[in-house]
Amino acid sequence: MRPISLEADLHLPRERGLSSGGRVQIRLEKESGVVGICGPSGAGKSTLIRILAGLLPRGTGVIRVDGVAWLDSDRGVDLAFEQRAVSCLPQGTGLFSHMTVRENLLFAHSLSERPDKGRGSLDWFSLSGIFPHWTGSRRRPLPERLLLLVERFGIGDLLEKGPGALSGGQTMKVALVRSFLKETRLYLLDEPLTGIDPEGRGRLTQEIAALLRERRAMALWVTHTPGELSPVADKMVALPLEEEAPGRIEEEGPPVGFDLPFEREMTEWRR
Amino acid sequence: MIHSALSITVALSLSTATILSLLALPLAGWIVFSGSRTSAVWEALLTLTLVLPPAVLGYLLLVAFSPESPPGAFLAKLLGHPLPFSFAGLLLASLIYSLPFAVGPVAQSFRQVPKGTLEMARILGARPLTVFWKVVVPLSLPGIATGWILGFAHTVGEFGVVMMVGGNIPGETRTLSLKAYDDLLSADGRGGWEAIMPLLLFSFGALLALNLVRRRGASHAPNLPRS
Repeated sequence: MRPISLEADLHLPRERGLSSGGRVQIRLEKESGVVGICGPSGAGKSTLIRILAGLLPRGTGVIRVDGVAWLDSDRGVDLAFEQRAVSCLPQGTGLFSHMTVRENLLFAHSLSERPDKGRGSLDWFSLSGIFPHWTGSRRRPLPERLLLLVERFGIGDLLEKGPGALSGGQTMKVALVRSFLKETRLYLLDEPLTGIDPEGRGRLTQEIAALLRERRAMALWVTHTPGELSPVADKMVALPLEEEAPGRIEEEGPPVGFDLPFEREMTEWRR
Repeated sequence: MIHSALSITVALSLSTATILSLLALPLAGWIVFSGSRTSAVWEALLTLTLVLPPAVLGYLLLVAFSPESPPGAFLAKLLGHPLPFSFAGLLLASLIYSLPFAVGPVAQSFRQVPKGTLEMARILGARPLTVFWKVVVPLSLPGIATGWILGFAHTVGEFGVVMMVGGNIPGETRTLSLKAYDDLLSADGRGGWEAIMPLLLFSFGALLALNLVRRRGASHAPNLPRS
């Protein structure tokens, strides 16, 4: 399978409490793997992920994936999220609290299997959405593809629970399964290990990396602890805060832009 | 006599609350999610009846419903009879009068659905109508129930508007509140309790139902991941 290429030259918008602005250049061509993104709070990690996904309409610059322009602000191109071949797990993602874990996954699965036509079909209008326990959707079996992911991430015993009964780590695992239901070659993961206990982090990291290899997919993975990505990341970059020194994420050349306080983690990673 | 006032009040309140709850979904959805610059103006217009004196609103509606006015003439032709002093007129007036009580809680519930939840539904591939029906509406059920209860309770207790538009005709447009008023003004003034007691029971029941919905709503609040 041909490698996936991602090129971007972006000016991150300044957002109070989210991003201090600055320029980010990305040039990657990989068959699969993980590219870690770290940096101090406010460096624009989450903003970068959201602009790449097309969830933040205030990005300026260029994004090309496999030669297709997703964003080219000079030419007025800015594809919506739905038009970009990407799966995204934004920070602080919650589950739908009116659905059990099973229903959350089935809802995501139905949308990944059959594109939602919205007004064009009557699928959106069904009582199962509002009163799932009246319509039997709480007992529907999981399709094969979903079942495999559920077993892989070890959430089989959570299916009948409501999101309120889950810990932060369990919620994140369900959210990861939901995100990986979409089969694509680019995954944008914003701190996907949030809430996972220290013992489980390594195992989950390896599981995600293996899944990416199988799908020949690449993940841009935002983390606050670069050390935990060391076994799987091919490249790690820290977004700097200074506007004059753009953050560079490139396939070739040494990692650039590491600043304190990440020195300790990076030393650990290099070792 | 109390039976007809009671049945008219119950029929009017049930119809008003149910129709308003159905109307509140698209109205509140448009106000909260359309992003239209005029939505604030429309929201102010919809809530105008909260601040207008009921008798003034009743008078305005009476004028608007009169067969001499274009909308009144149109509706009279549609229904086969003039709107004033009829149950249909009473129902339409109640719908307009109680509209903010049904739309307000629904809009408030819609606003409380976390933006991240809406975004996640979109990320998973849901189109706006699917997000609305399968995510926003189920998460807003306590607000929708609150809107129904408030619409019902407000209609049970309305006086000025039903007096002006309904005309207080026994067996046709006389509600419990109008009967209580009539009875209290009667010679002995003791018959009022016959209508006051059901009004008290309805009010207590509505407040009790509101509290139960609020408690249930609190226990089903949207969950964000615990870190």
